[in-house]
Amino acid sequence: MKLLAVIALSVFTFTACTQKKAGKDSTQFHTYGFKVYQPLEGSTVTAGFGEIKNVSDKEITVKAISSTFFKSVELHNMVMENDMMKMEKMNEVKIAPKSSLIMKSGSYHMMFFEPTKELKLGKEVPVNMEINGEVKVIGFKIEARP
Amino acid sequence: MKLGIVVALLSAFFLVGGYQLMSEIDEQRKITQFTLLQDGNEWTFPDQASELNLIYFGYTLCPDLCPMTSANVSKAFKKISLEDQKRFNFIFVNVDTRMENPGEVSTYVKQFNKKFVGLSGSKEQIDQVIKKVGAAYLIEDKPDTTLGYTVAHPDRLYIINNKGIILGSVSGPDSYKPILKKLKEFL
Repeated sequence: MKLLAVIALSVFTFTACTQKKAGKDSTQFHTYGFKVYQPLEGSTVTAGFGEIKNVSDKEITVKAISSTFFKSVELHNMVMENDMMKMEKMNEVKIAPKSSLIMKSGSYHMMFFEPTKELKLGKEVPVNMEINGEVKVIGFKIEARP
Repeated sequence: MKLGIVVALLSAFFLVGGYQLMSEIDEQRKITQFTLLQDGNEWTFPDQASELNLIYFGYTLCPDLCPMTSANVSKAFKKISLEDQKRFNFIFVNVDTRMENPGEVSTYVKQFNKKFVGLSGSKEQIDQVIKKVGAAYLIEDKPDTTLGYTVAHPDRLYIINNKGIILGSVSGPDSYKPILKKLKEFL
């Protein structure tokens, strides 16, 4: 009887620990302020910005995958070389523990190519992003360029 | 006597050399006439330029810096009087010589201000103009990207008068304020 109780307690404890770990994984990151600008006339590309905060104690990776609203999406960074600015496609970006990936003008940003649907102000564009191996859908609010 | 001849020769040498040096400096600070295309029609500098021109080398498939700079120039213009605005113009030179419809640059910039000028041209024409300004751009193949290439360009506004003299520049304007400050220097 005592042995059964010990076994039951062990199983319960193991299960509880496992679930606690799964809970932490599901709250590894927070997202803030995602937006995408309507493309300008004469252009078929536009930019998107926002923040992904790694609230965990481990490094996480971020990749841009796709969106049903655009032909393709890419994650970019802006670099200065020889007094020229250029964009570099990032296949993935690593976010250190307790740090953020801040996508903003002149820095990291999302690039959206060739809209396939109408982009109405105030609506959201769903974007598939892979964060630490899991595909998440992040909504980018459609805004007019300032 | 001999000393006098030597002094005379040396003076002549430095005078000629100095004149050539000054000519080179003048040449570097000025841009001469150039012709590009606006909506498929020839646009010639300085004939069609304003008294003071803010020239930017960018491309319409640029999602961030180019529209931001164009918008900031537009905002800066709105901060000065209509009379003063007449003295200035913004000229966006499209350096993306690979795009299918480079002429769309005119439609693109007019969204920011109907007066703005968008110019395109052949690679040779663009190279000539940007070299005169003392800037550069670079198009590199990037087959693993959607566009297939990337365009590096100066993030700088060059202020050039209608005599072709480069009066200054504004680097990486992330707001209209540094542009407005520069405009006011000429008012």
